[in-house]
Amino acid sequence: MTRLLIMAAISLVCAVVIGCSAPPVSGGRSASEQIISKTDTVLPVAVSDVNGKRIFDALPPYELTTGLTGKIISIGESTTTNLVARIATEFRRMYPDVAIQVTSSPMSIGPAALLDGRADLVPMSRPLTPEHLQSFTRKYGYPPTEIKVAADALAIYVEKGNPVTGLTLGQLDGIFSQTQRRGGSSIETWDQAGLTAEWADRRITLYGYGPDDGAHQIFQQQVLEGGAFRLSLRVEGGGSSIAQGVAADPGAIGFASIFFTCKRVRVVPIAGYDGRFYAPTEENVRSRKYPLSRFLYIYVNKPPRQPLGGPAEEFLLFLLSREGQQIVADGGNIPLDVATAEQGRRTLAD
Amino acid sequence: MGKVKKLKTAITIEMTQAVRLYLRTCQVSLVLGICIALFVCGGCATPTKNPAKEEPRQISETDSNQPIRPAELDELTRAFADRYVGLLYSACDALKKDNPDPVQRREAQVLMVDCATNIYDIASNADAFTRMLDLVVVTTLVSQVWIDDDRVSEVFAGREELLIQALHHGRVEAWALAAQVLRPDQIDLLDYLLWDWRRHNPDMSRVSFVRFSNFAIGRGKSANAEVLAAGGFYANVGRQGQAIDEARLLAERMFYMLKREPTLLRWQVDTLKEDICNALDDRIKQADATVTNMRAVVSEANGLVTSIGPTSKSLNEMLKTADDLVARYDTWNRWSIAQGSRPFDIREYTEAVKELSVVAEKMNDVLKSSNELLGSSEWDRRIQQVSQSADERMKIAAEQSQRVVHDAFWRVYVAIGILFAMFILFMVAVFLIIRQLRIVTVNAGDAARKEVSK
Repeated sequence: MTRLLIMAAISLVCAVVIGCSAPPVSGGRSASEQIISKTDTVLPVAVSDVNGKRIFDALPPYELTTGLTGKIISIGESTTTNLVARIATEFRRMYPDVAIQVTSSPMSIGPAALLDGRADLVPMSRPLTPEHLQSFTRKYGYPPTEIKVAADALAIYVEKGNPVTGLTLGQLDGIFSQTQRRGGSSIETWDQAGLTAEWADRRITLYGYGPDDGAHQIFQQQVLEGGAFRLSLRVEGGGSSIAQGVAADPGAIGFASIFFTCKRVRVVPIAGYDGRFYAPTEENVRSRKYPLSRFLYIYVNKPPRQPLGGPAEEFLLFLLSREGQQIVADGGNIPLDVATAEQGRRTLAD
Repeated sequence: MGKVKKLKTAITIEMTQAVRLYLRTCQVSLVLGICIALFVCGGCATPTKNPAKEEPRQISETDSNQPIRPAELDELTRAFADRYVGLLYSACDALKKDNPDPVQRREAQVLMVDCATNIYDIASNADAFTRMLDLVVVTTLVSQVWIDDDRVSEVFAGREELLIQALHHGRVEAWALAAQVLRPDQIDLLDYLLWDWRRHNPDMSRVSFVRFSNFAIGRGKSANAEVLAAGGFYANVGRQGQAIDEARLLAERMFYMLKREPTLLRWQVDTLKEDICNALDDRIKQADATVTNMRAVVSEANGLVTSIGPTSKSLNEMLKTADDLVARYDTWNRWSIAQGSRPFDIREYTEAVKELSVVAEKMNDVLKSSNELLGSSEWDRRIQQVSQSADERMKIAAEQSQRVVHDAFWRVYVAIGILFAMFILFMVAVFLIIRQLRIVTVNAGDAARKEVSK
């Protein structure tokens, strides 16, 4: 009898403790969920935008299908994966029976996952290398399908007070490279880049991504022509760290996606192939006049003349639709022009 | 024979009870011993001690291929928290020093207190991994608000350099800490999440309360889970609670926070003082503005009165002339003067206006004197009095809160002492009972033996 009483007392205490520590019933949403709902109000998917024509307004709207179920696994490079994650949030809302797993990984993991059949979508911020394409073709007998999903630009950032008006690719090579394959001279202080007065003697500090990042590889190919970066390059973990590193250092220069621009930095116009200077505006990026323009890609394993099918195809169709490209734009990336989006849709239909 | 059996049974029962009593005493003493040991261990443990008896390693010495140990991360995060607060304190102190602008002084103070409170709150978190992520979140968001969004130039124009360096340095160090635990792609993801959150919350300037758990995004699982489950360098840290004594960790966290509480309290008191002074400054400014307005009104009134003077004089003369004319006309035509009605006399109004002018001048003097009072050292003295009294009250509050903590600890120690004394008494009593029982048993045995021999 005494034992029973003791057990009852213990149960009562446990119940009270659990009751006190349980999340409140009212509201029923955690802080993180509230943040999501806030974000959702910031990023509405407006089918029609009455405030002026935007490039994606000319794209066809997405048509919902019924009874879509299944799972999508996306493994790929972080910049494009972040975009995929934003699209996935909306896609999941439209198709609650589709499970989507989005994982960002180092640059080399995505192509390997596509080759092994572990991933349905492989987001990349640069095209696959010939080695990756060869391995895939050797295994499946056809190359992986490349879909361009957004445009992006590698911006050159300097501190907001830096008066530099523009730089050529040769000057960037002189600043960032220790090999100077473009044939220019080494540039280590700002007077060598044309600045005068109090800026002349300032040493240039370099900020950028690490060698595993797609932006690092693209910059190395397009600007350094495959040459080596200076050892003084301060490698930061992410684009916002690069932008802030530049913001906090008046003598600094750095490269990162245009996505990370902020008030305390200035984006430097770069001389295009026609010799004129171009800022990385949407128009200049789409027209490729800005020389450090790039696309963001998703690779899929689609046999030729066979539909990709399933939720992965619907996901890509949504991404290439008006609504999908609006999410791209709202998230800070540059949406595709109509022709490129149409080309992607045709590739999926082929 | 039956008596012997009964006696044997009685002895056996007595012995069994004595043994049970002894065993229970042992159990109780064991439990008490564990409690005391735990308390003593917890009390003696300091944040600087390595809990797992591992040699502490420097950040630079950490081999990037080796997973970081929970004890190391525990230590590194707390050390970083202290360094960050110290860094911020130096920068904010320099911003406040000899700064005549009360807004700048207040902003620097609030930034310091906000950050320090939240950083220490994070540092006393149970899980080292969550602690590390939260530290990265807070240092990054604070630096984004002040540096990237250039709030530093808006608030501390001309003095921003020191704060920029401090915040940027703190952020770099936090990410260096994260780089020991997370893979590069996870770092990139975290960086993006923070940036994206800031993009969607651009007006939020007080960000030090934001935690990593706020960043769960629609990825099929939370970002936190993704980072934790991705099998990074720190895959085993989430299960640290299974391996490490939780009671000691709790005590350590408690002591960590308690040791820093007086500093935080002092800073909060400073903030309050700053607020009171600023409120008084505002009041003085408002009073000054009111006085200035009043003086302007009064001087306008003076001007009006002065201008009315000559005008009324000429008008008076004109009316006088008219009056004379009327008087002459009156003498010529007496029958037309109405009885009982007094003619309009502008002199009366002139007198009134003159009186008004005197009143206005007096009022002006009163306002002047109040203005002088506000600008005088007397007012300064009063502000100082208010400040001192607030200071004293805060001091008393701080002392009282410290006393509460001391009292609580004192009571716990007394309770343990009493328990220990009771335990000793209990052991002595048991010992005596057992000895008594033995004597009884021996006597009973002797008696039984005697009876048997009889």
